[in-house]
Amino acid sequence: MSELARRQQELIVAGAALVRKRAGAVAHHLPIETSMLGDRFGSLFAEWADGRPKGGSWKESREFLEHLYTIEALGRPVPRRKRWFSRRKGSSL
Amino acid sequence: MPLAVENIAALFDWPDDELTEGAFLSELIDRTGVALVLDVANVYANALNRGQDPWTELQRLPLERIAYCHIAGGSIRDGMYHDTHTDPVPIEVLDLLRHLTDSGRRPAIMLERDGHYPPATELLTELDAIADAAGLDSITSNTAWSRI
Repeated sequence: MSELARRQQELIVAGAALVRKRAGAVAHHLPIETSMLGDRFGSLFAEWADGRPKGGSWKESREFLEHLYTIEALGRPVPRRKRWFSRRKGSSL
Repeated sequence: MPLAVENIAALFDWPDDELTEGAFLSELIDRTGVALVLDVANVYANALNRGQDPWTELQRLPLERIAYCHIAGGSIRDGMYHDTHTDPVPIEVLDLLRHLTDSGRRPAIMLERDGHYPPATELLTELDAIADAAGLDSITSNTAWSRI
C-alpha cells in the first residue's frame, strides 16, 4: 500500500469510528427504535449522517427519527382502531 | 485552578508533523507548567496502531508531571485498535499499568467506561484487576461483593 493510500485508509477508519460514536449518542435518545432496528441502526444512521454536519445528539435524534419514518424503516405508526360504537351520533371516532 | 493535558488516542498522525507525541507533550507541559493526565489505554492504542512498543512510548511522556491516570477498554475493528470505553480493559493495558507501578509511580487511576455496562460483579472484577496492577488493595475486599 502506498503512503498516500495508507493515510487515506487511516482517515476512513477514523471517520467511521467518529460516526459510530455519534450513532451511540443518538441511540441514547431513541432506545425503542434502537431496539427495533437492532443491527440495522448503525448502518442506517451512518447512511443518513454521511455528509451531514453534526448537530447535537438530541436534535439529530429528532431528525433521524423523522427520516426513519420517511423511509418506512420502522413501519407506519399504528393507526388508532375505529371503535365499533360511536360516542356521539355522527362522530366517527 | 490547576490544569492538566491528556495524551490522546489517535487513529492517524498529522501530516508533516514535526514533533512526536511525547516530544510535543513534554515541551507543552514544560513551557506551560500544566500537569499530565496519563491515559495508559491511549498509549497502548497508539503504540499498537503504529507498531511501537507501548512501554517505550509511555516513557517518552513527562511522567514526573502525572496528575492522575486514565485506563479504559477497547477493541480491534477495521484492523485498528479503538479506545472505545465500552469494552473490557485488555490484559495488555493492565500489564502496561503494572509496568508503570513497578517503575515506582503510584498515581490515582480512573476507569473510563461510557456504555455497554457489564453486570456489577464483572465491573468490580475489572476494578479489582486494575487495583492489583496498580499495587493497590482490592476494592471489594472486606465488602459484601468479595463474598459473592
